[in-house]
Amino acid sequence: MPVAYEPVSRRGVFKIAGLGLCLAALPSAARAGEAGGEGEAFGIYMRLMPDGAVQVLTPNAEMGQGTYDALAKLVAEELDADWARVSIGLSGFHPGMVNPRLGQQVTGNSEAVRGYSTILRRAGATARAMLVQAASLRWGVPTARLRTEAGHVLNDMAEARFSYAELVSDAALLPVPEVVPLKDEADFRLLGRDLPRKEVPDKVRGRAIYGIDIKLPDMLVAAMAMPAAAWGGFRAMGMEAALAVPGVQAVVPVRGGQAVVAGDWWTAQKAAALISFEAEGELLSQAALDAAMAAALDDDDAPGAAFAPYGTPLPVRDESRALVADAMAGAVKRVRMDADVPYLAHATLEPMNCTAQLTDGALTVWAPNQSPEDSAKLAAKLTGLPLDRIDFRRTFMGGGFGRRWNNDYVQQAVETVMGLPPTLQGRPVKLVWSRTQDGQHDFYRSASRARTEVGLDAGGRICAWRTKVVGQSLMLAWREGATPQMRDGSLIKELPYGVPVVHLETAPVSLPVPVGFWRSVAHMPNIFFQEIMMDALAAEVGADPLDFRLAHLAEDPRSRAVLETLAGMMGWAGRGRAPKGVGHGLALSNGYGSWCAVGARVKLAEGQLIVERLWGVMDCGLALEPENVRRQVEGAMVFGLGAALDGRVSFEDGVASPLGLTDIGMSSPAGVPPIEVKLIRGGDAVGGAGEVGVPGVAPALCNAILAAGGPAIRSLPISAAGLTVVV
Amino acid sequence: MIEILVNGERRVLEVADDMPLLWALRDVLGMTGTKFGCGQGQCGACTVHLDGEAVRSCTVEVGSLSSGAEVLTIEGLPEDHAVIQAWEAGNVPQCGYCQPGQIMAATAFLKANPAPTPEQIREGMMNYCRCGTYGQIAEAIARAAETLKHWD
Repeated sequence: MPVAYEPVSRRGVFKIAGLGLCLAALPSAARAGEAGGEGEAFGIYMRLMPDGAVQVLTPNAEMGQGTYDALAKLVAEELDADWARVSIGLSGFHPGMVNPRLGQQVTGNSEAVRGYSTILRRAGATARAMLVQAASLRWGVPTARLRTEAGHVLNDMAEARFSYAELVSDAALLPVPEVVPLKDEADFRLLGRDLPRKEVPDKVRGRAIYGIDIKLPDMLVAAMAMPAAAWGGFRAMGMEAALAVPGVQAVVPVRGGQAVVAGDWWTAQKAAALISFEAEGELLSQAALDAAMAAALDDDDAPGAAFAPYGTPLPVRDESRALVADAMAGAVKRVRMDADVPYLAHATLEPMNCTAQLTDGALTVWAPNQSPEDSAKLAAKLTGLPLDRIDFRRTFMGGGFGRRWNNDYVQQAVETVMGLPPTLQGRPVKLVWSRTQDGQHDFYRSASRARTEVGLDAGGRICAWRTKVVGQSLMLAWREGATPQMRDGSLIKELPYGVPVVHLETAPVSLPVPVGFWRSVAHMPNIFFQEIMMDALAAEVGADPLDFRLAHLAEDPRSRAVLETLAGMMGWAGRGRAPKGVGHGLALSNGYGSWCAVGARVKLAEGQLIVERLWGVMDCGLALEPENVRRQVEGAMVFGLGAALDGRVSFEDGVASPLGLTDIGMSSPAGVPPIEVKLIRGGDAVGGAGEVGVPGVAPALCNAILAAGGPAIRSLPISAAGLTVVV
Repeated sequence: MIEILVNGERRVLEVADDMPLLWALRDVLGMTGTKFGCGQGQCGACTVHLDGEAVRSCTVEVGSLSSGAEVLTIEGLPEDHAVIQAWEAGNVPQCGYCQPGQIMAATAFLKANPAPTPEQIREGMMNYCRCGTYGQIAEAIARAAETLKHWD
């Protein structure tokens, strides 16, 4: 079982039953200098136990991105802990565990390390300072003469040492230092290197507990009956028949359907199949969704907003349009391109599930979930219980990719236990979806379309760039009444290239398809639109696609460096001598505080497409765990490859298809070519690692296909362009 | 009612004939190392060995098992099995959800292909991984094959 969140006192010392004193709760980060939000008690993140063992409670979800180890290492590094004696727990909801960059406890936007780094490092450093102070008092030696290493304070002059275990009870009585120094990178022992991952031994022996693996005394299991359509009102029928099935104990109406409760999932899901649904009203099909997107793209008066790069004020749309129109009028050539991307499914391998138990005015929830704060607050609202009576716990997650930011399935589990008949009240229920339901009730990556027009000057340089993007707004989907902002999935991000006049605008399209955050969010569509345009422009002026990009990156050495390194790995200079039908393509794929470039080599023969190789270059500044960063980029590229080649969800009368795991744009084992990823370093700040590898794959492939003599692909997935993908 | 051997232990299953072995393992016997991914035999997360062969336990109905059938799950592999150690040494898992199934598939694959070529691994391993750890899985299989070779 994961270590669950246990409320801790904010005092410096407290007792844990049977364990004696420990150094546990440290006070406000705000008082300890530097950043950190007001009133954050960072002692909630770590405990030093009386025997010297260190427990770190990770505030983040662990869904494959590897922050479980990375965040714990931030604490252990500053503490100078013995890494072998550090254990890691998964947090549930804790009101103190706000990610400063996201304003709540939520896992997303590649913000784990960037958000929690300072507070976790300070937690470790503060505890270390108190241990050194305790040793200093024992020896009567100034702290400046002492150093720490692997769970010990050392007095080198006297050749003496104390283990942290020997000091912990003294240290716990000391005042908490106001300011603690953080290590220089040169002194890092744990960060920046690869170590065995703490969760791996359990994961490879089937012992790691995912949400779906929760077992509790007297636990019941629920399967869902849900309509096939992803949205719209419905009327349910057949509940009596389901309840009459031997073994079925209850049928409870919940959000989006009926929960059928039994002793095991197989029995429950067979009974759930007896429940049918009648849609109330007409549901849209793909043609209507496409038409709405196309109309929004054509309608220059559609409600929308103009956007400028991060950190600059939002320009007034009409003024921004006028500026770019002037610049465009002065261009020697103008290139225009429409492009589009489809709806996509997350397809986490572990289907949605959640376990809940309601007893004595308290609710406990066990959930694989990215947004514990939102989920716990939702549970409080549903039950009418105060938030401190909601114990929201988390498990390992069989993938997240943004899907588990939503809490629809949490709501279902909570409503199920709220609606249990009196004889079953108080018993825990684990609610598990089928694969089909997981595909039919996703919060899909929104489809999106873009119209881009670029003006070129007499020297073949870009003098004006205008892009309009339309799609469903993710911010509006997430928070009712939210204003679209730069993070919004329907919006283009800033342009990395140096262009004198840029106008970017968006028009959110109001459609009923449930949409949500999907690994790399807005970057995937927007980088696709941008990077296929760059190759089209290079072709227009007869320039090499790499040279053309570099010529527009004079002010951006890190973008140049990832592209130049990539070109070296790909043998870009020699690509002109490639055999007929072989093409190389590349794309710049920056985002999340990291710089990234992706390259592809493809072969085309008689309408067949073979992806021969992929390359990635990543500059995330300091890579805390280099191997994991490389793996994250590689995995993200595999994720992006499947989506680029085959990913497309369409709707017929509101019903999504396809649904099978093998045809929703998930790369198969044999469908992945050799992938080489290289890390380079162009700065110190740590950038996000989990998402940035996704977006570059589709444009790199399309650019390679064009270079190989294939079609100019402006619409994803690639398989829809009449090419047969051969693996 | 049927009696089978699960990881060498006699277990009696009193369940509906059409219950897949997967759910008998997970919900009846409480062994959750074998994962539910699709229930359609596509992903391989539920791979176990049935009488020595890798099968997708979501497609094997309990009623189809013969009495005394031998089932090996991830929980039944030795702690220090060469394949597990290779997975560990390579830090293979990301989310890790598919990995018990991958490991069960790999152990059966290596029995049939003790010295596999990269091409054989590519064609022989049919389990899906949403995190994209295929490269690391292939390396781990090659590493395990090296270790196992020295045991023969």
